[in-house]
Amino acid sequence: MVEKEAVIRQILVITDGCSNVGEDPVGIAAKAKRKGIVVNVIGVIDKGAAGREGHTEAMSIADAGGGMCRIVHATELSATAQMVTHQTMQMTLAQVVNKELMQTLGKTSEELPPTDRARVMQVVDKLEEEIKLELVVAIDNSASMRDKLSMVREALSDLALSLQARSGPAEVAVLIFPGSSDEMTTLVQPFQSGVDAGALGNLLSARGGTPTGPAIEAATLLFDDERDRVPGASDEAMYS
Amino acid sequence: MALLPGAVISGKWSAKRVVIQKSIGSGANGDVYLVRFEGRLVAMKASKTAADIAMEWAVLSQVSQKGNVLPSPLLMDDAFVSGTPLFFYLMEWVEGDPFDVVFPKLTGLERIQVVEQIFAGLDDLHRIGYAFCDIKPQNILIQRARGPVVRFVDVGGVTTFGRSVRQFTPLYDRGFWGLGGRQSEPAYDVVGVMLLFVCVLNGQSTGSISKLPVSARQKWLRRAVENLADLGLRPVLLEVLDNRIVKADEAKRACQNVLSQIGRRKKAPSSAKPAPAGASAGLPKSGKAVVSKSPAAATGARGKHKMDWTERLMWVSLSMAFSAACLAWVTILR
Repeated sequence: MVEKEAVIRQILVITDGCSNVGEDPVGIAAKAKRKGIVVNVIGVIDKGAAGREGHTEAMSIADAGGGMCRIVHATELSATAQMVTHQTMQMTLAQVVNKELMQTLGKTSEELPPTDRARVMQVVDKLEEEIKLELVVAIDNSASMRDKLSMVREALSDLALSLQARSGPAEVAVLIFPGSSDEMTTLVQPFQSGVDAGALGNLLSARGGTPTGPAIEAATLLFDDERDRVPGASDEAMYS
Repeated sequence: MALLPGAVISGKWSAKRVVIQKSIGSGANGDVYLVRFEGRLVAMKASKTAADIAMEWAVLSQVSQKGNVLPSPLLMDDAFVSGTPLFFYLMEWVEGDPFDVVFPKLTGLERIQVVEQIFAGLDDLHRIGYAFCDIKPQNILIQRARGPVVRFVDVGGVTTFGRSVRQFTPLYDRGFWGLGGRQSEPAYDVVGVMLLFVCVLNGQSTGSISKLPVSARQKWLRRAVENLADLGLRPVLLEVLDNRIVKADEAKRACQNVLSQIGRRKKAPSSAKPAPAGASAGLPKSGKAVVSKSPAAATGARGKHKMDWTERLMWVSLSMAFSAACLAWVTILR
């Protein structure tokens, strides 16, 4: 049953190309899904030229991760990030509620009469507003993303605006891939209740590879660490 | 899954038949068709996902109990179309053209009437605790021939006050402009209307404006509002921009004031224009009469109800003015 401390866990990957370093991101996304984490992918394109490979990979990652994939122009990034997060939260909750209905009534909500179904969906809607969300945003930091990073930064603060408006708590962590020095990934912001757009200003770009797989893996691990985390402790200290 | 004209769909629960006439639009969460149902033409929203349809139906049936700015709901059901389930609901078919198509062609007076009606429609919705949220040209239809009359379509964004706004269009979202949070409240819609008005008249696209930082967007917006050619609406929208008007009924009344001023000005040279109907029955009435004519058609019973107290107020002020005048004469003649 959906309890008070229930949490929705999501990873949002923002990338503009194909992975070329480390493990296969599709397999890792599938692993994340098995842990109850939804993986969404937003592919950012420049001017129509998406790169078919990148597109296909983005779709497969989202498929394996039980999430959504959207391919958009950089200018649509803000609205898309919000929409993808909202719709997949709703999807996750609908699945949970359906499972519950299946156990108690032997029916999914789709098999209920329309008016009952509408009522069930209102419950889902309310849950979505109130449930806790933990989100890791993984940002492609390879050279080709350089001129899109200002849009990414804006998309993140915009997403924070949407999350703030919810009545339920939301915690966001941000990591970049490839990382700043020799690492595959660097954690820009640990789980905290808002997005520190300033911290993103320190992003170092221009490193060759795109280790999407390792990035999703690192994001998955963040949820594990999260258990040891003292809630609400030292949020801003790191990047002020 | 596009349904072709002539396709017959029979509801699983209601056993009622729907015949597709044509497609009249498609959005992120479903397609809208014009269909024949029980001998008349109605609109059908259909989707493969049960959740979206059920959610919209729940909202539509809640908000439609009062006022009919939004289409009235008729039936929700599902069907099997070539082996896959299709979820749908039927609602009143709202005719009219999108805001951005009609609005730039309107006269100055019609524009104020339209904006007044939009605020009036929002006010109706706000009174029962919902904000419309997803204000955009495609969601606001105008029938010019009849008045003009404004109707809202698409309940996808309608959200209870206090909740977060889930469906919005960046250009008409106050958060995008750094003008406030993304919470469902009256001011969210009021600012949205201001943005709609300014962006449509300036032919503004999301593409160019989203490249600017927020402060530059705000500067652009202020300049755009200050340079509006619509002199009547400019002060109203400026007050919205400056947070001095935050409620739909305040904005509605501000528009009504503008209309009544125009009525007064029109009256002086005994205008022959038919538009300000009833502009001959005394000062405060002229404006009110213009306004209430068209929305009364649009808002039906609710509109009439609202007219009652404004009318009463008008008569009270009229009679007070009259008695004051009488008193003055009496004192002079004595």
